[in-house]
Amino acid sequence: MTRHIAQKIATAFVTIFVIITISFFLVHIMPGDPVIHLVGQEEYYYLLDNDPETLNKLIARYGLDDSLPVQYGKYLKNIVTMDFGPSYTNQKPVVSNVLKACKWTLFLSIPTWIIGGLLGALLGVIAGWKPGKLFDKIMTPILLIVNTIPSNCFCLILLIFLAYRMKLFPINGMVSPGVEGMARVQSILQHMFLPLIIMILYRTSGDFMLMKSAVSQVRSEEYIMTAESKGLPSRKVLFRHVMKNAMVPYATSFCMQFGGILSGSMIIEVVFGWKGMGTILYNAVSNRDFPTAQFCFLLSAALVVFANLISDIVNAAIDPRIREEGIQDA
Amino acid sequence: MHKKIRLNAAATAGLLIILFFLIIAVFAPVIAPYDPKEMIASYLPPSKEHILGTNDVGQDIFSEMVYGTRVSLYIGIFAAFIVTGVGTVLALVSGYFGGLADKIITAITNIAMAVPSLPLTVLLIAYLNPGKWSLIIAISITAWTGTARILRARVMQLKELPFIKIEKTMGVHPAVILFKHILPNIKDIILTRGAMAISGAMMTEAGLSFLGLGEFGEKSWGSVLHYAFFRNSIMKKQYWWYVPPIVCICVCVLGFMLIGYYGKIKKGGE
Repeated sequence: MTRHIAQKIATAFVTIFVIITISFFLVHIMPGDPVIHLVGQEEYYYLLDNDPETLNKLIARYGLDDSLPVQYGKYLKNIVTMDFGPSYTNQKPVVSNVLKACKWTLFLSIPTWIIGGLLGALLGVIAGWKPGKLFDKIMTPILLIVNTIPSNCFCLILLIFLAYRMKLFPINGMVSPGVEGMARVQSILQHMFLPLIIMILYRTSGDFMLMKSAVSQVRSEEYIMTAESKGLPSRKVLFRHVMKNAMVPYATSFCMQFGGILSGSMIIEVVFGWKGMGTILYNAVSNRDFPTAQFCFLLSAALVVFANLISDIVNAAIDPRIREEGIQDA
Repeated sequence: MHKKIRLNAAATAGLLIILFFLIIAVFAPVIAPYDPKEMIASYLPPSKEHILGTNDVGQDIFSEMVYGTRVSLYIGIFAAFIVTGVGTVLALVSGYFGGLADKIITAITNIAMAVPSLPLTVLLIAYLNPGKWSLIIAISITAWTGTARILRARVMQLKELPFIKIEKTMGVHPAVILFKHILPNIKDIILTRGAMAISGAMMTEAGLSFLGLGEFGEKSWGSVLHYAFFRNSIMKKQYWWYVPPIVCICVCVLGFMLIGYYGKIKKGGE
């Protein structure tokens, strides 16, 4: 098993390196002068005609006058030292800007990950255990439809009814200004309620489908029929045989979902004015603040790779087929 | 028997929805009463002349929606076409030939799966020149991995079946085996994955355009919603402006999803 895991860790490092490299070349393989992408087409041609001096300064500032390998080396060095320079919009260091925003995203995404994961699994087991019964018939279409509504539309629908019409929740932002102490905590909770509910609903519906199909697949296996025909009570069949097998794929994807905790809520954040990672990336792209955008991208990619690695390790730990293979290895 | 009829009804409903929108898209110039870019008078409420009123720059919202059907479907269908096409070709090559090709394709798939798709899409749109095709490319760049994985597993199963093995030993050309025997056997998965890919691509497009990262030369439904939201139509209670795009996006995505989801179950049940 150790060899299996070591191999997975090595793959994860290679993957991160490839993503970092792709992210570098994204700017440089695009047709035309890289500066076009950095300042925008109109601005570029304006500067080219009227102010070539500024354009040259810009080129120097971005280090674009160096040769490609030198630029690549500098880029790698900046990543290792976590130095992405100042943000173009507020001149503070990119890294601290983004990490501050991460905190706000985690407020939404960690509860989503845990509550949605548990709720989806629970409902999915019930529906998959007795397919075609009332519970399955009601839950499956409802959650399927939830899964089908694009998140921006869903946000707007809830905003219109619950926030604008019934005035139950604040419309926008993360905390009311000028409140301290417990009142501040309460205000934050009030603001995060709607986005959080939406994210949990989406996660629940996705995980429900996953668990339902895993359970109903295991259910149709012959060993379940054997267990049932030898008179095992259905509760025991469920916990000893069905759950044990259905948990393997579910645990794997539960771990993988951890990778999305920074990058999975962009649209919802923007609609609700939640100043998290998604909003920062959105603003960075809108304002052509590329160091920020690039760091956001790399950070979320690193997290996805890390989560995939964890899911591989968990998978190896709970799936006896891989575990046994490992024992033979050693 | 009862179950089968119900499932067919869901898939049929999906088909009817899509047919409805396709007809609107094809006959857009006939249906729309105005040119969607023609500026008449701003913020008119619904009336006989303008069923859904006009927007902030005085364009007829109903005509915008009718032409928006074209843009939304165009992006959704072509992105899904690329996604499914790339996924299928890679799955056939890696599943059937195995060996080095399989190793390389699997490695590429794994890396593509490790890239957070929405951030990459947003980043790409920022670099590419705006337009329908940049959106299509940005949407499809990481979306093909699921299709490729599922199809590869299926191709590897099929490859072990006796009739394929016999043909191989008889020296039938791989292209013939792939296109005449393997492809027809994975056709159903390709079609349902394709329908799902369209709904997925349309959802992504709706989100991107809503954020203001989409195509603004020709407005899609998402772009109409973008203007409605950011011009405060909800606060001003101009429901004729923000409701139609929400309804159209949701219903159309649901249509493709119904085909993808219930079409698959029907096939599996037979």
